[in-house]
Amino acid sequence: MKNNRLQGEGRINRNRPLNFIFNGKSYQGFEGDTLASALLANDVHLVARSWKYHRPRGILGSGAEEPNAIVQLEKGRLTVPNARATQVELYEGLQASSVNCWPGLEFDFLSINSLFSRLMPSGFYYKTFMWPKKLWMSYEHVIRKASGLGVSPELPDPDRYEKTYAHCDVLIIGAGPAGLMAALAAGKMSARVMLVDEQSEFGGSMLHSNETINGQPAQDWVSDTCEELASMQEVKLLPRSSAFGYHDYNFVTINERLTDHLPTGQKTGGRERLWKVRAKQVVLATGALERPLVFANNDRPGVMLSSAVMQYVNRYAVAVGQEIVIFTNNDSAYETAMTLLEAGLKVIAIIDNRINPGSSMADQLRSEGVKIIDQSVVVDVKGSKRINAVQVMSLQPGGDKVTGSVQTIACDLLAMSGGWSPVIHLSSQSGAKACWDDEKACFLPGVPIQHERSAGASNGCFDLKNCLSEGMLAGNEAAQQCGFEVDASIQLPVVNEVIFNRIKPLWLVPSMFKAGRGPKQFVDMQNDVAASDIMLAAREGYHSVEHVKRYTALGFGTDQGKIGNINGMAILAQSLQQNISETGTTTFRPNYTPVTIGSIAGMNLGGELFEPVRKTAMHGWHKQEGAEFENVGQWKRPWYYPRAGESMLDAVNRECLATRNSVGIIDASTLGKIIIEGKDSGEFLNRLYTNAWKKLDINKARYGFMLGEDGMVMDDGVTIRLEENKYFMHTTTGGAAPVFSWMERWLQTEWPELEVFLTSVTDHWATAAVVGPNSRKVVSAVCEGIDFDAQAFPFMSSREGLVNGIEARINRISFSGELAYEVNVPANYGLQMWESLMAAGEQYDITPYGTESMHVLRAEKGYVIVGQDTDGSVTPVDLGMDWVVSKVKDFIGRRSLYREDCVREGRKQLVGLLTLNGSDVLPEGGQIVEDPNASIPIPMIGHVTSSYYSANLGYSIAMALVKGGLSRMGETVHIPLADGKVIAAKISSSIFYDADGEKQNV
Amino acid sequence: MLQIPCPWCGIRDESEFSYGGEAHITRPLNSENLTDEEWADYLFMRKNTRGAFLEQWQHAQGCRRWFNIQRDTVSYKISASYKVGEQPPQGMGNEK
Amino acid sequence: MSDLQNGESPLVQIDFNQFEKVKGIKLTELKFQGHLNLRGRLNDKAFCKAISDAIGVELTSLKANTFILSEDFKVYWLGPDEWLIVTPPDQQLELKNTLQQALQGIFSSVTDVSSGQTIISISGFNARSLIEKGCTIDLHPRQFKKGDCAQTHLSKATVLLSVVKSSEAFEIIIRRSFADYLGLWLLDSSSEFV
Ligand SMILES: [Zn+2]
Repeated sequence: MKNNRLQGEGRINRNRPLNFIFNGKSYQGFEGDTLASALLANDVHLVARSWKYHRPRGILGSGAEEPNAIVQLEKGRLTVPNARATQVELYEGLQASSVNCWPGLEFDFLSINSLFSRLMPSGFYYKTFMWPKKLWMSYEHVIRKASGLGVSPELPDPDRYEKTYAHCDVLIIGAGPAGLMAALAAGKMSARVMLVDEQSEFGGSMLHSNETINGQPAQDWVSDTCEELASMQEVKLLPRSSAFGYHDYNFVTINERLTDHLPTGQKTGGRERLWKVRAKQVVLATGALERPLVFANNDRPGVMLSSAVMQYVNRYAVAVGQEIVIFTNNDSAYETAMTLLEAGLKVIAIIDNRINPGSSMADQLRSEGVKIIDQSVVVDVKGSKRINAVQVMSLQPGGDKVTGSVQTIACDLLAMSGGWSPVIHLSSQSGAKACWDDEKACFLPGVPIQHERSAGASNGCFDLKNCLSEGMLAGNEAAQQCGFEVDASIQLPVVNEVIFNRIKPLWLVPSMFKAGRGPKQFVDMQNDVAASDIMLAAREGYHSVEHVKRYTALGFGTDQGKIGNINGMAILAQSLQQNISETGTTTFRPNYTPVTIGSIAGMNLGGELFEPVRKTAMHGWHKQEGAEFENVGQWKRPWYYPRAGESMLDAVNRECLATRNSVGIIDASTLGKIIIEGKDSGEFLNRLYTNAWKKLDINKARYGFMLGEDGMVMDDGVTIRLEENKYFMHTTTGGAAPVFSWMERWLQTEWPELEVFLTSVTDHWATAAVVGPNSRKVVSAVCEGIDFDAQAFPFMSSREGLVNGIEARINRISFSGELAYEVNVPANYGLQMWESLMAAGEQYDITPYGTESMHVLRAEKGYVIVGQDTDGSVTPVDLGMDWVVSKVKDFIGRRSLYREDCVREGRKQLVGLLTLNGSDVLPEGGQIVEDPNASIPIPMIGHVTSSYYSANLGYSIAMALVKGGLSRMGETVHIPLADGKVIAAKISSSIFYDADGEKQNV
Repeated sequence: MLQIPCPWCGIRDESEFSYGGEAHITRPLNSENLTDEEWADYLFMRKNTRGAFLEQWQHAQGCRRWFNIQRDTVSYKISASYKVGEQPPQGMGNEK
Repeated sequence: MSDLQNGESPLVQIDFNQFEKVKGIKLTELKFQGHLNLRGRLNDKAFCKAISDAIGVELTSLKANTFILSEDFKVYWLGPDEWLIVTPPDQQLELKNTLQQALQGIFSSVTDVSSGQTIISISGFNARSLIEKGCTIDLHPRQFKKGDCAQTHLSKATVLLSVVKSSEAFEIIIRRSFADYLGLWLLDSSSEFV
């Protein structure tokens, strides 16, 4: 195996060799390598097959822009799809494989697509697979296998992902020369600075630059600056961190990779951290990406970006070729040539489309024997899995056609530079509209919409001196905007001045073929979009750049417009005979680079902390007694308490019978509780509830309905008058927060003249409802200071006493129709109160019951549950509860009760349903029809809202909303089930048990 | 995510607030005398302004106060925040 | 006077010993403090005077989102007409009676919520980093200083967060029913500091 490692130092640590496996073969690299640099060091150029034509592809770039070297990392639970090999730091034991290769990289069965590529133009998948529609599913299967990028892991992700909010004065994105200088400036001003960079090391292009700063190698300046920044207390440095989203109000999301660079066995703690940053000011120093040139077979392994070639040589000490040709339209590639010569590599020729591109570097190169062929272009390359020659032709004057004969130059590497595109992705995400610059032939960041500014290469400034000064200016200005004073001691580093000649744009390299003919000239390698595809799209009428993008897939995948966008738009503009500003660019959207779902989901995904679990003071007791729990809003409520061998139905039947025959106990702490105080409290309740409140006696309770302004039932509950001007309101469990907010809203916005204060006491009181004929005996045994005589403490009243010496409030109210008391104590003593009641109830076999039995008991009495028997379209009249609606006073929702729709005939009304066969239990939600044999679609006249088996009655009961139900008593209706069976039921009163209400008045 | 200025607590994250819709809608006092159409107009009809819009928010996970802001529904820029009962800054108002 | 021996704090299920292995974080519960919710109008001189006489705090000078220590009581601003008074254990009922006496005939409300919430104290050099994992508020000492408080959310629970010592010592008042969730969240979130 050939070793391409150079003598030079680079930034790798030769004392730390690292073993890794790629496509099943073992290789060795060094600490400091990326997977890409290590592969190139081992002379592995061929790393992938393209997704549509399955053409062999090599490494093109050196960073986030890499379109080809997309690998699947690791296996099983830890597998990562779509990693860019250029961004994967090498670690001991790394395993990776190419994506898009089946059965293998060297012989790819599907590369047959490549032979038929003429038959697979853009939009091919849309056109071919969209018809007939019913076959889409099977097409999709084929396409997924043949295309797409990596494979999603099928096992749960074992990693942990951290999340942190952060704030700073100045957030600087990109730690190249401009970013470092900005951080230094802002840091010296004592601003709170965050400096983030996607790479493991700060420095950006300085890490592979030949330039000097203050007379020292640029790398030395970088390390000195980093050291200085690290010593500043208010400066936070975040390497390995990609700012991937720039959102409203300077909210920037950053993905920090904590352990991806470590060997599998050494990873501890979270894998990644999502930083959610609010920055007062942002400096975008995100650099620029080099553009490829678009010529025939420009996707062959061995064709690379010029800057990447330089980076591999200087930073990783890897010779990516021995005999090198350079193809460029600007000066930056000349620096690559110098670098290659210094490294002892052979630069055969520089092909430049410009006329006599003279510069000091050109002269020097010529003197070292490099042939500079001006006014010429590379029209094609030879070789498939690795190039072995380039074909060069001269340009005609004007530059849009080639002329003369083809000159073939043997070489093993072509380094190309089509110019530079500032990374304006984040600027664009922030809302700034990119603008085209003809002189620089690139899009520049638009006028800032948010508090941000760009500096350095991302601002279209491509020389070091100006990068540093722009960086300093940006840092100063950003910190000044935050109120800090410029530190006068800061000095700009001294660098050599370089004169650059102007770039000559070259969007589509002319060739001997007609435009769009001949071998494919790739614009976007990742998505296999060639120049001909864009021209075809234009011919087919796609003129908007956004449409062309979707039609051709230009800029899809991990690319997101990094490699092909500008060339593609320029080619589109040419095809449409427009200029580039008229054509415009696509809108960049988050995410700049792919982000793991884990990072976005965060640390509590799916676990017990995903959503708050609210618990009552007696929760531990319920758990210990083996209760099954039900989620009610965020609360966990005991659902039923199964004993050994009991089914849910067994348990519920037992609980219901015990409660009606002796005594049961339920934790009712979750109900919302609100103290209403002030001289207008009664008036406020009058407006809030449908019934009247001012005449309620002190220590008496009343049931109330709350409606929305639309007249629909919103909440219900019992409210007690504690004092002349003080009430205690109960809401439903789920309604507590919204009702409290609703009440505050009316007081604050509509009725500020009312003297009413609200205080939530939901969490302060623990409540046990003791229910059943023996409840008085149990409660009176536990509560001191209260006369429990039936007349002295009648139904719907409230008393204060003591339980275990603690203040307690006992409400004689009932949601079951039984004699019942609700015992409230401060929740710190809730468990103690509960245990006392259990002890006192032991002789009556007191039975704890859960929400299911509570539902059955109330349904036996026909009591509604808001949210179960109502759905936001039900008025109190629909529920047959006109008695709770005052005819004389105004209240919220009253006017709506007289709207045409609320008084029409045939509204759904709440009724009872008794199945003809009492052992049939209707499914809740079941649709009700008159005639199950009617032709389909059968008109539906209502639905079942509540349905249970009642052990107390010995048959099933249900409640339902039925059109005109209250006038259909005794009629038989039908409920068809999913399995084809039909259950017949008779419409009845919804009160099934103790219709006269005697049991609660004993 | 927005940052919303509560007139009492200053700028806080959107996650602390809940939305209350269009501001300055007064509940009719004489609802008895309103036609169904007039009542429905109060009940259901809201502006869907493109641009500057006066709306109510509650600092739900903060001081629990309801208040008004002017927010641009295109740029999301908030240009005013004022207490309930106060009039919007001069020149601001939802279209009729 | 209630018997604290039989009371149970909302965080009874949380094993605070587990926080001992966490570096730079000391986490304790300030159990069974008295918590009184106070409502009244600042433009009502009688109200302000009654409070000032009873607890020595001028509510009109207590700025929004701050708290003040007065003798044994801490008074937190909750809203323009709402405050929280935290008392040492078992003093809340006495104070409540005192205040209600003083506020007779004045539009106000004094409500005991002592069992409805509890206080978690978090201090140490990692305290701020821990809270920042679930809190959108800027906790930097330049922004959130000793004596500041804020009602906000920590992860998904509503809390009253206050600074006892800038950047190093915080207190979180959490509603009872959310306390267990928050305790588990704190435990989980602090795992990176172990
Ligand atoms: Zn607020």
